[in-house]
Amino acid sequence: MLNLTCKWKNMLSRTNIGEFEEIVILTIGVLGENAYGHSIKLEIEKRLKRAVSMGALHTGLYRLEEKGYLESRLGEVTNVRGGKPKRFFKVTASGQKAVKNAMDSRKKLWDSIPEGVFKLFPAK
Amino acid sequence: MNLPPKILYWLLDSICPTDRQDLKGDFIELYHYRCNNSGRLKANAGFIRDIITTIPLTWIIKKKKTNQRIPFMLLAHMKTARRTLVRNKMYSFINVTGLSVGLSACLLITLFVRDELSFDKQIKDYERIYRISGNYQQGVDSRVSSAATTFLLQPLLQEKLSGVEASSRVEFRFDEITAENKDYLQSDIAYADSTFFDIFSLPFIHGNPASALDDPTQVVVDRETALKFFGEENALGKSITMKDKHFTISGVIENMPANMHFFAHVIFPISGIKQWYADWVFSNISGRSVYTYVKVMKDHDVGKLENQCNGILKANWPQKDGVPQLILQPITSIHLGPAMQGETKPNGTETDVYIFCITAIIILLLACINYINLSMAAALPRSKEAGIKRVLGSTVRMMLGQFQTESFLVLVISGLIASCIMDVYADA
Repeated sequence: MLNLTCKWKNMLSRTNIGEFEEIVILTIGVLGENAYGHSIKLEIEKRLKRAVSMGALHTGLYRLEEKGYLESRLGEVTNVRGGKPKRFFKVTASGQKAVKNAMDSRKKLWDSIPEGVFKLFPAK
Repeated sequence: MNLPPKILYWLLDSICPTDRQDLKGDFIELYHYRCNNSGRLKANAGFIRDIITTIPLTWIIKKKKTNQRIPFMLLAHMKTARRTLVRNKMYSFINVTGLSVGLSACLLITLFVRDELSFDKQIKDYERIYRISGNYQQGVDSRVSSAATTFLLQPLLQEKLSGVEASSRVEFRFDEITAENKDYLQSDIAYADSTFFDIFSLPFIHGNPASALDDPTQVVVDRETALKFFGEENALGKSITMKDKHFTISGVIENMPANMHFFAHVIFPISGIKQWYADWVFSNISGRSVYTYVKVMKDHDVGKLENQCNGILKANWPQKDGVPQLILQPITSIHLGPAMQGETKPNGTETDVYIFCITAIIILLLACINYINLSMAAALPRSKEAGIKRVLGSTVRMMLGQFQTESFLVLVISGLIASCIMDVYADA
């Protein structure tokens, strides 16, 4: 029981993020001012050649915003989208820290791989 | 601009959380984009697929909503409801008064009807207890129904009748009783056989119901009378005097409920007081002086029992004709049944109960109509308020909640007033 509660606490206060979340944050960074639901989806599909479902994307966005890695504002109402506003996303400081942290930890691991183990990519 | 078909749009509306308008916009934009790239058919399929993948998101968002929004909204509604009620004082006064008067009348009638219908139902085994009443010949062909029977009937029945668990005679009088050197004019005195408590299992506070009336010098009083005579509940073993004869208290019972067809404060054994009876009581079988109760055994045929009773009476009747017709009356039918000669308490009537029921329904209906009428009249000038709220972004559901909270507040206030009124008049 104690073990389980500890695990929960870890999950709640974690600063590391999932792979998909990382991609979403980075894509928002790539798009800059023009990052809203549809453009993020198109950008990921275009750059990474992987299909993104609306549900997964919006759930991810909602969760990230809840955790404070993203912030959003509603844009102007235009006729193009059936009179619905766009929600523009911006990466917060803690979001930036989180992706940097993710990248650093991977880099650390990459650098510690001994020579000759990954034969396809020999370390320099 | 390619727009999705209406049915898909409706599907999206029903699934999408209302405060996520941007999500809808994304869906529409994506649809347009897909139409241009790969045609309507694929766009439709993709639309449906995406809606399905969005369902988990709606759960996540809705869960948060119920946690935070509703108490807040309710508070806001209460606030505005209070303000409107205070502002339109005349309207709220009429509304609350009308509703509370209607409600209290309805509640009072319900109480009365419930009381009438509950008569004798709290006695244990009430469905097996019957009162023997008779239809007597009077003059040549006029007959009269009487609740009382002859003093001689019960011993005859006890001797010859089978299928009866217990039978008892009861009579009610008032008399002067002396207790601790003080005289009281005591009403509601019962004279009963020792089997009385076998039939009516009244709750005893002190004493043993099985032997309480066995001895001619014993007497049972209720709690109220014990307090009146001796100033304490436990009056066991103390003595009271009636007509210079001493009686010892052998039991104290709870005060009898008001919804029984008879009532007694003090219960004397018949064996102890029969020396004061007139001679005709013991000899005249056509006399009518006591009530006779029987408790029938479980699942015994009452019709057969009634015939047996009549047979026994006929066999002991001195003349050939003029034998009264005995009737076994279930005690629950006594209060609302036809009034007979010599009833112990004034009867109610079944028609009265029905009339009161209908009256209560009509009063309630009128109160409702009055309330609806007033609220509708008051709602018309408030269309401006509704319009402004709508412009400021409240949904239809919010507006409904607002008006319902107002009605609810009025109802709670008038309900409270009605229960106060009921409380004041219920004892009367």
